[in-house]
Amino acid sequence: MQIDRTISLLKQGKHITEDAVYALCLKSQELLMTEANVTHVDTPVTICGDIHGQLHDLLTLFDKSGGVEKTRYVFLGDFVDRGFYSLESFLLLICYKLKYPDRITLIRGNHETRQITKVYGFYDEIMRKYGNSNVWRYCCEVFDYLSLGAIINNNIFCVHGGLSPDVNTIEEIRAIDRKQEVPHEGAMCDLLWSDPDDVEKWSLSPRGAGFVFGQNEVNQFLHTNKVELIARAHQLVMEGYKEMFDGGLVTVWSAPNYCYRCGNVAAVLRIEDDLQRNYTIFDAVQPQDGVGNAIIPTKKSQMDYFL
Amino acid sequence: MERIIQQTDSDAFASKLCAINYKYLPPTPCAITGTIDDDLQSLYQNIATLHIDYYHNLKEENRNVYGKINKLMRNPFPVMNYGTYLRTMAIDSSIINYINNELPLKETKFQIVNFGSGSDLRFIQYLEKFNKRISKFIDLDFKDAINLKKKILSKSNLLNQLVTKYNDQFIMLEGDLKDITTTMKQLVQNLDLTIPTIFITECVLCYMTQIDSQNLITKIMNNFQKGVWVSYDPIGGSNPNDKFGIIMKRNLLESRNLDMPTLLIYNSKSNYPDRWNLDNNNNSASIDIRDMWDFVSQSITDKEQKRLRSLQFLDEIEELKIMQSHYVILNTAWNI
Repeated sequence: MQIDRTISLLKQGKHITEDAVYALCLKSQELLMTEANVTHVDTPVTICGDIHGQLHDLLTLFDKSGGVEKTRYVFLGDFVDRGFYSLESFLLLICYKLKYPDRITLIRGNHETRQITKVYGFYDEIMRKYGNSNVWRYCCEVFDYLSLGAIINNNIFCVHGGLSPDVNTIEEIRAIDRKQEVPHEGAMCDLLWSDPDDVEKWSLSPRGAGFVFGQNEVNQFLHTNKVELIARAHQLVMEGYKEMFDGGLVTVWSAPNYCYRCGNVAAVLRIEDDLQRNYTIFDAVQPQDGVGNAIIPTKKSQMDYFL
Repeated sequence: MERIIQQTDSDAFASKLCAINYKYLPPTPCAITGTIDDDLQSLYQNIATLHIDYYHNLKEENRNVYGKINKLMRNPFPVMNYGTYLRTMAIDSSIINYINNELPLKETKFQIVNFGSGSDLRFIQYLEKFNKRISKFIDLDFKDAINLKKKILSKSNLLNQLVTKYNDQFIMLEGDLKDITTTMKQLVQNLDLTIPTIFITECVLCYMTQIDSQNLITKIMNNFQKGVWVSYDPIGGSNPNDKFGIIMKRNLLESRNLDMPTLLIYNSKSNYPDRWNLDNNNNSASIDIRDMWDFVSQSITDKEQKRLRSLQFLDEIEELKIMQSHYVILNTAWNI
């Protein structure tokens, strides 16, 4: 089957033709189009945070958490940008989505947009790998169809960034017209951009988009929607995950040694049938090829230290 | 090794050009807290013109270096531009603070030494601002670096005119900081040991061995009666869980064979200043050390921080914090 061949090539970081990417993107759009803004997911399920183009760490993630053949996954977004293998990481995830539609849920992150990928590396990666921007455009079309959130057993709300002052109920998220570039403000923007912090009320975010929200907003949301946990990603956590607000919110981060220099570990969160939370921590690996030789990541084109 | 260290000048110059291109530099009015904002404004007023002119002349003088800088400048990450802004502002505000606080009388003359200056154009900025108050401004670097700089400065009408204007004050010295005897000889020949002297090491000590950098600091502090040392460097981090420095050392060795011998030795704000704590009668007035995250939170106004974040959609605040807490600005004034 064609898709198995593509998966095998992707795992080795090998080139995928422009036509093949086009076909994959078209198929996944058709599939994603049918999904709701907030997808229902059943336990047991493994929640994964930011990936950021770190293909070899994504492979480790699948390795350490059971693999897509045996395990259900929710990915909280930020598949692309910063790492050297944004394309391969994103394509691998959509191949899995096409092959196992019920076993993998992909939520949109704030990096799955045209504007941000132009600044943070995905656009440049495509220009470097293909010499033109077609593949970037195909992928951006898919980004527009990714869902905005997921709900696990009607009990755990999953989103990339966080809450929005414009959203009181999950029902309101379902009403958003999501098939567009992420706007600079409003509910859709906030869901992808906001951060939790120890604040008394809604505050402006230092990121320039979204809001900062505190325990009051979280408690209100949990109560109104009758859920017990908000699982989100979006912020680097050196320990891989961080629970806040008496366990009412968790940040999960799945890109170890972020940007190949931050020195952090990564985590995924498995939710059991009884909603028990089990974290798996993993470290970055030196990328290796099929026969165990170290791969030096594609020559860096950008400055990364102050010298 | 010498060549590998010299190549870091291209990174530093490309970073600064980038920060200028993307309008991080110069800072806007009311960028910094305290009383030195006006001084910084005048110090930076020609920064864009000077650097862009140097860059254009570099193109004709050395295609290789020009090409490298050109490539490095493509699509810089916001965190890098932000950090270059902080690095530049931290060094200059340290120098200006020293001049304003320790040398308040307008007739007091002083000297500046920029170790490992590379393509840095601070000499023009400072000579234009302080003019006759600066008796000497010395740029000292490896022979090849100084040669290239001399060529570019003479090629550019604008820069050549400025160099000629400050002919009696500006001196370029070829040397190697490892050779402390020759370095001291050169400095003594050109400078007055009795007047206040400002020493700048911007990412210089990090490339030297522990012994060489200690010798340099000790000799300078024992021979110059009054001065200040302004130093900017990375620190590896001292927390056992902090792997930033270990990874940085490994990345730089693997990608370009660049070594930072003391990154993991002087790895914190508390031990980085050790080299300036000389065990003699040296009346070291004060040692002030801050990491760049302290600097941005304490010294850059909210208004300016907001402007900086908006320039390129700065997204990754956590990454910025991790990086910037691993770079420090030290300034220590002494008076024997």
